[in-house]
Amino acid sequence: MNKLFQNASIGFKIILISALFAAIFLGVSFSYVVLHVRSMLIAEAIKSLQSDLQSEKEKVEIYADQVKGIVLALKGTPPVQGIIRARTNGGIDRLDNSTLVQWQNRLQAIFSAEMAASGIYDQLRFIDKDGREVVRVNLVDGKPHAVPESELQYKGDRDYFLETRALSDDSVYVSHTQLNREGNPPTVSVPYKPVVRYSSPVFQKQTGTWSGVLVANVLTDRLIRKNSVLGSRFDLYVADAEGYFVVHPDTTKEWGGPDDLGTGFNLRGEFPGASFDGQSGVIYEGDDVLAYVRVQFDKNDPSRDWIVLERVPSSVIFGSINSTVASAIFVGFATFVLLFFIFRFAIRRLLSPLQDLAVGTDRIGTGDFDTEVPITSQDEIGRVAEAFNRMADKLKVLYSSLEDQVHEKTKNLDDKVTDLEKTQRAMTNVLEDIEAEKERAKAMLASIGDGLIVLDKDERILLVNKSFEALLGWKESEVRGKKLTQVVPMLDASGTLVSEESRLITKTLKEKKKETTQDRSVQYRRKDGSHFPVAITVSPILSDEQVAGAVEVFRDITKETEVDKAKTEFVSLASHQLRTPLTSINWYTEILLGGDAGEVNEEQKRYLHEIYDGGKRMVELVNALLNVSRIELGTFIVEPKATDVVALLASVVDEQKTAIEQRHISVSVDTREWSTLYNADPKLLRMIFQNLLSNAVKYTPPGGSIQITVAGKVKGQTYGTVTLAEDSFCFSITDSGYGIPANQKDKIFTKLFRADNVRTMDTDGTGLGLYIVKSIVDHSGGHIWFVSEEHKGTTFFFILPNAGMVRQEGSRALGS
Amino acid sequence: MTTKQYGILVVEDERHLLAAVAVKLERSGFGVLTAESVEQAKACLKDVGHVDAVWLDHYLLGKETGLDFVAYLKSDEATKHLPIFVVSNTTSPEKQQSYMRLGITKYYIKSNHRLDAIIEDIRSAVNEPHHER
Repeated sequence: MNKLFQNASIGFKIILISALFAAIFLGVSFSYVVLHVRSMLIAEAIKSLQSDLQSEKEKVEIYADQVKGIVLALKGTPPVQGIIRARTNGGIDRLDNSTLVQWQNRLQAIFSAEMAASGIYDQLRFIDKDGREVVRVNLVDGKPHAVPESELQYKGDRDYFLETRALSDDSVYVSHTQLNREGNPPTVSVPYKPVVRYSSPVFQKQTGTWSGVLVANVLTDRLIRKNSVLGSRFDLYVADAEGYFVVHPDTTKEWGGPDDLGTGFNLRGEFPGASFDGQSGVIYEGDDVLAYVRVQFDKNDPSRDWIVLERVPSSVIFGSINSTVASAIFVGFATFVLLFFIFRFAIRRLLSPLQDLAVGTDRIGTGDFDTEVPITSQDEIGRVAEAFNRMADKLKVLYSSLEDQVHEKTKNLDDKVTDLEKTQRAMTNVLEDIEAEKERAKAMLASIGDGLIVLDKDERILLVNKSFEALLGWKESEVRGKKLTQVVPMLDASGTLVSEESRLITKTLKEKKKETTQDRSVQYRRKDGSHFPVAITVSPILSDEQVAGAVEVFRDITKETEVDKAKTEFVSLASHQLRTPLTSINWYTEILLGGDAGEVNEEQKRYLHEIYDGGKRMVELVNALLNVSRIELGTFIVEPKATDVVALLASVVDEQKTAIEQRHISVSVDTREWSTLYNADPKLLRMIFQNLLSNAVKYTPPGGSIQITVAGKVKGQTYGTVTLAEDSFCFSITDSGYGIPANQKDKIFTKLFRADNVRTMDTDGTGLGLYIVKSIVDHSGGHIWFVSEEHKGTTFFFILPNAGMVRQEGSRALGS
Repeated sequence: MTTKQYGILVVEDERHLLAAVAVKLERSGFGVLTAESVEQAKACLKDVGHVDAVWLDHYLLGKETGLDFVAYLKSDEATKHLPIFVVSNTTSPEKQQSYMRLGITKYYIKSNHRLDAIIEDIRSAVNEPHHER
């Protein structure tokens, strides 16, 4: 709906809105008017109805009063008195000698004349004081008929008779309206004769004695209809004071009262809820209007009132309106249609310039700036048209200037594009170079002789090189994305599978540090199940301190291992081979020296000693060389166990007792600051002690002294010249010996080095001892250093971790 | 007084060394039996029936080594408790451990010890009552 409205033309919109507006306006005002007129008409109708009723009521009341007068008049006629006189005088009127009968006939004649003249009486009677009818004239077939003496009736018990008897001379009794009853018992005469009895007491003129009653039975409907137009136009309802209908459009509903037919139809039943208490009023029953008036037959007695209603049906009231409304609607509609067309035409005319405007805009849109829109008026639309034309002119100017600018800019752009193209070509060249580099790098990578694995931070293989494939038998496509530890099992020295947590890659990724295999016993298993020894280095790939992955390089060290093995075996063999002849020399010399082959003289003894010493030195050298070779070959085993350091030291000192005593050197051992066991490899610790002590003994002149201290110190304390970085086992040995020349201090720990000052002296030494000691100390996690002054003495210090020598797995144990 | 002469079985493949040991042992008052291989050593034992101690080298003539001989000695009720002194130039700790596990008395690296020192140890061992090793 909305869309439809939006897309419609202005004209349509205006018309639609106006029509809507007009319709609403007309509708509202029309309805208002109609309703108003309606209620006015109703009021009018009611008013007229009521005034009719009122006038009718008055007429009836006047006439009713007239009847009263007539009754009184009839009462005063001479026959009445004549009858009275005659009856008191035996039937003869003494006054004029007329007989009773004559007076009766005369009265009958008067009655008849009145009845015929007025037409409203059903009976006119004179009843004597005993209640006997004296004269009675009935209306029979529309003609007065004097009733003969034999048919006169006794009415002495009738209420009207009794009531009237009590009245004064000038009063007239008015009865309720009732259906006339005749006979004994009194039965309702048929056809129904509703009568109202007017009666007045008769008094004898002379005596003033009450002598009877004059009664006139008035036909009520005739009373009403004779004198009014009531019931002629509209339905007439008349009810007595108790509400029982006297007149009803449905005649069966008349005379419902208990004294009459007893049907019970009454006002309350007909018009429930309506009130008839006022003198007049209006009742609405549906669309009909009923107006009522109270007709008072006796102003002093409301029980004699009649309620007269006239019903005006709605069709009558509204009849006039409806036709008016119908014609009004028609007129309205016709007007509406006419207006519509006029409006439409006007709008069209008014808005057609807009159409031109729209067309003009389209034309400008195509680039025709010479477009002009016709200006047909000076109103707003006209002004827009003017503005449009001006705009078109301006656009023309603007456009041409724009064209110039565009032209210029385009030229700029073209130049820029050319530059860009040049740059692009240069870039392409660079990219090609990069590509070439990349290819070279790739080729280099592929040709790296060692196996290369690039892993992500979850240990998954990202990339491997050709060597990997060759060494392990897996293709890159088979292993990419898989975890290294799953694809390539690692075996340790004993051939057991190494767990994932113990793998180097795991350690590297966790601790962000480079890890290298420490010995040559680690193996990788190939795809086909065979295995080979490897040297592995894993380095983390760090980006912003975070581990992004790792790179592993590994080498097949089968050759090296074999070489190692060969070397080891060679050394073993060599040392073994060297030892045998040495043993031979020593033992034979020992036998000779021992005199087991005969006596030897002093000179012989001397020479034999030289041989023996030489042999011993050789043995020492061979032992030292063997250790050095073990050190050189790689790691040696450090197997710490709880060692009684004090006892060990004591035993070492004891071993060298002979030499110590020979040179008269005093050796003191202070182990007061170390009381517990210490986790050391006893063999290695012994070697350290032995070496340091033998050096101290060797290089101290006779009579010198050696002090040994063992202590435990805590982190931060100073020991010797060093501040301890951790709790340490601290050892020092101080001698009062030759000292170490300052310029040779840096070489002290090197292989086969002997300082000049001791070489000139007659001391022997392999030059390997300190090298071995330093290697042991360093390998066990400790540190060794010395302070020395030539000719004064030397102190060697070494410290080891308080917790103990660091355990080292290895393939060799150093020995002696 | 009768001094019992103890008999020592010396198993060594190097002739010179074997000779030197034998001489020294004799000079020290021991009876000496020599063998150059396990086979010879076994034969010796059979011949003599009883020795008091064994001086044993590791590398010997023939296929079997000192370890085999120790195992042999240990397997026989008669020789199970013999004091065995392994005197070898082999410094391999593994070998040393193997010997110790089998239950020898002491292991010496030849070149590190004087003859008389070793012989002293032997003397102590044979003089003392046998201990369960």
